[in-house]
Amino acid sequence: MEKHTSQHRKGGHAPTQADAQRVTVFQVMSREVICLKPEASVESLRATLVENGISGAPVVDDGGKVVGIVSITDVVRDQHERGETMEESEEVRLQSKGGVTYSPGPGFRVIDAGATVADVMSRKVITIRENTSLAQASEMMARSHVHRLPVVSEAGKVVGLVSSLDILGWVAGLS
Amino acid sequence: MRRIRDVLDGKTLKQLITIEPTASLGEAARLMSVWNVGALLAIDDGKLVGLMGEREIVRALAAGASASMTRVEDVMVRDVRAVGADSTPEECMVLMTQQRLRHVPVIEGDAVLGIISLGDLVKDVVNEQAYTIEQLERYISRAANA
Repeated sequence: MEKHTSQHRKGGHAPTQADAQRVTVFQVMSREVICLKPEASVESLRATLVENGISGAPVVDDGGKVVGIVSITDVVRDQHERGETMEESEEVRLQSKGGVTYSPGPGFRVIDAGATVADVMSRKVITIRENTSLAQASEMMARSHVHRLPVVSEAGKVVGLVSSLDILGWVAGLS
Repeated sequence: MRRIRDVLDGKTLKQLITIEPTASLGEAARLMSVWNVGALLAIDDGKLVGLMGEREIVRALAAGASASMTRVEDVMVRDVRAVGADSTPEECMVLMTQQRLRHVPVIEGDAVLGIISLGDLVKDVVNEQAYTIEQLERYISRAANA
């Protein structure tokens, strides 16, 4: 009887579920990771996401250590809450130099120039190590409803990023 | 007033990327990878029967499913929220935020016009703001020259 083993059969690869448990994130992660600083503005965050075609990024301190994570859903939620969309924004009262107060009409959108990445990011970050398996990484993403996991060194510094798209790419290459 | 159909018009990808419900997860993943999309429309006999996203692939892998043995219909989202082509980007953003959706099909009558993603909406806001600023700058320099 012919023996079929995934490693030794020429010209093909019969994938098994065990592959996801054997392959580590090191093999699929991105090594060039766009990170943001906590003091960056939400506007620059939005522009960074759009310009780079990404949907989220780790937030790091000056030492490169992960302090938070931010995603496109945080941007949209913030946009909606601050009334940057054309829907009714919060009742705002403005005061002129002469002491006259007035409420801006619906044509005015108050954009809080002070909003930073620190204001919208999630401080609860799930990070993984290079030797985490794809199966484990998928489980963590599914359980925590996240789409990216920063890969960190022992010192907590970002060394890579695994996103659901990377896992998708791996599955695509399988069968 | 900007509508979702306007946002769709602004997308580079004009085609509808679809998949049969009986296709494997591996095929779905390949299609998504090749077209660089995060979700596929599952179409059966010309009808939209489900939405297949990267989320579903990750969940399936987490549950120990085999990419070649599992079919799209085993994991796709069947209760699909769609928006009408005349809805506004803001309405769409509210829906996506409240329902935790990242991709939403755009419908007009019986036809599916395309898929709008959260990324498309954010990109649209950034572009619209840039356009507004550009118009304002032109207005300001014109006024100064008057």
